[in-house]
This record gives sequence, structure tokens and C-alpha cells, in this order.
Amino acid sequence: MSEDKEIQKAVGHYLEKVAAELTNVSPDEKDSILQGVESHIYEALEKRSSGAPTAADLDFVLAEMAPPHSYAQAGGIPSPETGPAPGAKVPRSAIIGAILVPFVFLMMLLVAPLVNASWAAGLKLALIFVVPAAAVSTILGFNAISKIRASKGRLRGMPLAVAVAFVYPVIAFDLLFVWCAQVLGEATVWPNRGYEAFVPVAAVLALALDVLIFWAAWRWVSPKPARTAENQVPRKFCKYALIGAAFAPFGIALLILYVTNPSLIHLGYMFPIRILGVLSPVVTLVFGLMGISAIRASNGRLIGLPLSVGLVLLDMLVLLDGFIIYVMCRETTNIARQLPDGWPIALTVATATVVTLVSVTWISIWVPRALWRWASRPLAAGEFT
Amino acid sequence: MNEWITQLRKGLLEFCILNFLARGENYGYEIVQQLAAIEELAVTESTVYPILARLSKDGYLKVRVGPSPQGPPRRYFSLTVLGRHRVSEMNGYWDELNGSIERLRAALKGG
Repeated sequence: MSEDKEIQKAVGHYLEKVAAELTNVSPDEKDSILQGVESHIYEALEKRSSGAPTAADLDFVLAEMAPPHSYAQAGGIPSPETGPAPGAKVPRSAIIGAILVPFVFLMMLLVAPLVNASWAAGLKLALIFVVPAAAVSTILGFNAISKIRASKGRLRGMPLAVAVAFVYPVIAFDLLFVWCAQVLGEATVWPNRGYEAFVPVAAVLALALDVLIFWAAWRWVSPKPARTAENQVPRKFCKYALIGAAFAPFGIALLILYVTNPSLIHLGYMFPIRILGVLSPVVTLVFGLMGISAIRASNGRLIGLPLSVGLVLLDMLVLLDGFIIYVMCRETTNIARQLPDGWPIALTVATATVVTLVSVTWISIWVPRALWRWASRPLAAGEFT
Repeated sequence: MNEWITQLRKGLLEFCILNFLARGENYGYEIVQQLAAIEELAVTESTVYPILARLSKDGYLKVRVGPSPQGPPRRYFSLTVLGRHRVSEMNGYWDELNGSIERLRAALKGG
């Protein structure tokens, strides 16, 4: 075997050992590390040997380098805990809270007949027994949540803790919601139908909101994903989009004035609005396009793409839809005037209206969709470089 | 004491690599050699290359492949815009932290 091949084999053997230790990095990182180490070995060999490197040179270089097992800690910083460690315990506060929950339900059932018999007696019992027990259960649930969150995996039972912490606030919310809905319904929507008709609707709505509340609570308590390089960078709102947005209201104001009360436009104090309003379509279009371009080139550091697209759309849609409506109105009027006697004018106008509405709707859906796709398309190779 | 030094080195190595590359692009071997000169950091290839790989993956470094006199091509590392931003933030924080610690030590010595 030639010296070169022997060196290559020995390097390969060393790299295999390093690769075996790189268990806590992604395949891409692993490749990158191995390429770096391989290159490093040959650089060191070149520095050591005056001519062609020998196996002895390689032995010396490898002996000088860090042993393969030292790569086991590659990356240096361990990933954050994502779940409970083996043997993790459920906090006592969650268990006591969970025991209290059925107990409070039982008390509620016992108090309920008294509420029907006498409001005062029922309320008194509820205030003495049910409310404090529910409050204690809720406090224990929140206490368990904070303990589990702070334990970094040494405690488990988060679903139980969330259920205990939120069950009574959610029930209280449901009762309040149904009561408010009933009062509101009786007062406004169904004045004469009241409780029986309105409560089931409100209850279904309350249940849907309960699902949302528990979902939000679960998101709140769940571990947050590790911060990546992308979201560590402070994101700024694109200035071009903001400038364009500042001009847009003047154009809209001028258009509204033109349609509703054109005589106002020519008043002296309206001069600034007149100038800014006339400039507005060009400024919003140009700054909208500049915004799209800047945001695309920023590699995630600028935000405001929907606003930039909206600014470009504002002009395009007003012009296109306005043009269609104007042409259709004018032509329909002309046609209606020239129709022979006995021709159904109403049918003609109705047909023209439907055609106009369909055209305007189609354009108002298709143009924004196409523009958004264009603005949010992936960067092409070499674009903005 | 040893554990504290190990943890401190781990945190500082990324800071040193980014600052080293702020001067301009360089390849792995040279980075290891230069940083190994700082004895207190106890730099080896097994600490530098994983950090270089992670910083590249996270978008702080870009890699350019260039010719090498022997063996595989050299991989030149340089800071991206994101990397420059990060090193500037890290330097700012380091200055503040260092200043505060120095003031604390001076106050303790004086008192």
C-alpha cells in the first residue's frame, strides 16, 4: 500500500471515530464538522512535513489533535428540556387541587336545590363553601403550573395542573356569559322569548369559547421553542410601507370628497389634501413596490409585506374596478336609451349589473391573489445579490 | 472551580470566533491556530469545528470553498449580515458586563 493511501485510510479511520461521537448534531452539521476536521488534518500535515507527508507525520498530527471522544460534547450547549425526565413526579398541589374539583362539584349539586328554593340561602351557602373551595382549587392549579414550569423536567402532570387551574374560572366564565347573553337577548333580540330560546345558543357559544380558553392556556404553559437565529434578529417594519400607508388616506379622502361633495375640494383650506390626494396614488404605488422589494431582499429582517401589497392593490383595484363600473354604467345607460319600445329595460339593467358585479368580484379576488403570490414567491438564485 | 472555567470557556468561544472573523474571512485551521494562542480558552479542533458548523447552520457565517495546497479544499468562513449584527450585539453586552463587574470589584476593594 502506498504512503498516500495509508494516510488516507488512517485519516478516514480517525474521521469515522469522530463521526461516531457526533450523535447530538444534525446531519448537515456533522458533514460540516467532518469536512473541517479532514481539512484541518491535511493543513497540519502540510505544515509539519517539508515534502510528501509520511505516516509518521500523520501519527504525530493526530496525536496533537483532540481525541475523537472529545467531540461527544459538540455544540457545547445542550438543547433545552422538552419533556419531563424519567421518574418525574406530579406536584402535590396538583393532586390536592384535583381531589378538590369533584368535591366542589358535589357541593354545587347540594347547593343547587337550595338556590331554587331560596336565592338568599343558596347564595350564602355558595359563598361559604363552594366559592372558597373553587378558589383554593384554582390557586393550587396555578401553583402546580409554576412548579412544573420551573422544575425543568423534574416534575410532570401539566395537563392535570392546567385542568385544575382553569376548570373553575372557565365555569364562572360560562355562567357569566350565558347570563349576559340571556339578559342581552331578552332586552334586544328576542324580547318575548327569553330564557328557553336563548340559553342553548349561548351555551354552545360558551363551550366553543371554553375550547379556545383551554387551547390558549395550553399554549401558554407549553415550553417555547428554542430561539433560532432568524427570530433572534430584531425585526423592523419596512419604512417604505409606512410612508406609502401615510399617503394612502389622502387619496381615499379625495376620492370620497369627489364622489360625495366635489365643491368642497376647491375650497382654499382643502389645498394640502388636494395636493397630497393627487400625489397619493403614485406615492402609494411606488412605495408599495419598493416595500415589497425591500422586504424580499431583507431575508426576514423587515416585516410589512401584506401592507406593501395592500398599497399596490389599492391603486390597481380602484382603477380597474372603477373603470369597469364606469364603462358598464355609461354603456348600459346608452343601450337603455336606444332600446325599442316594449323591450324589457329592467332585464337589461339587471343583466348589466350582474355582469359588472361578477367582473368586479373576479378582479378583486384574482388580482390580490396573483399579486400576493408574486410578492411572496421564494427568492430566485442570485436575486438581490 | 474547574466546572466554572469550563462553562465560561464554552460561552466565550463563540464570542471569540465571531470577533476573530469580524476582521475578515479565514479557514478552519487558521482559526484554530490563532485562538489556540489564547491559552486560557484551551481551544481544540473538537470545540471550534462544531461551533463553526452551528454558526453556519444558524446563518451567522457563510462558507466559501477555496483551493488548498494539499488534501481537500479549504473552507473559508466569513460573517454574514446576521453574524455582524450578532457580534456587534455581543460586544456591546460584553462591554457593559465587563464594566459593571469591574465597578463592582473596584467598589468591593475600596470598601
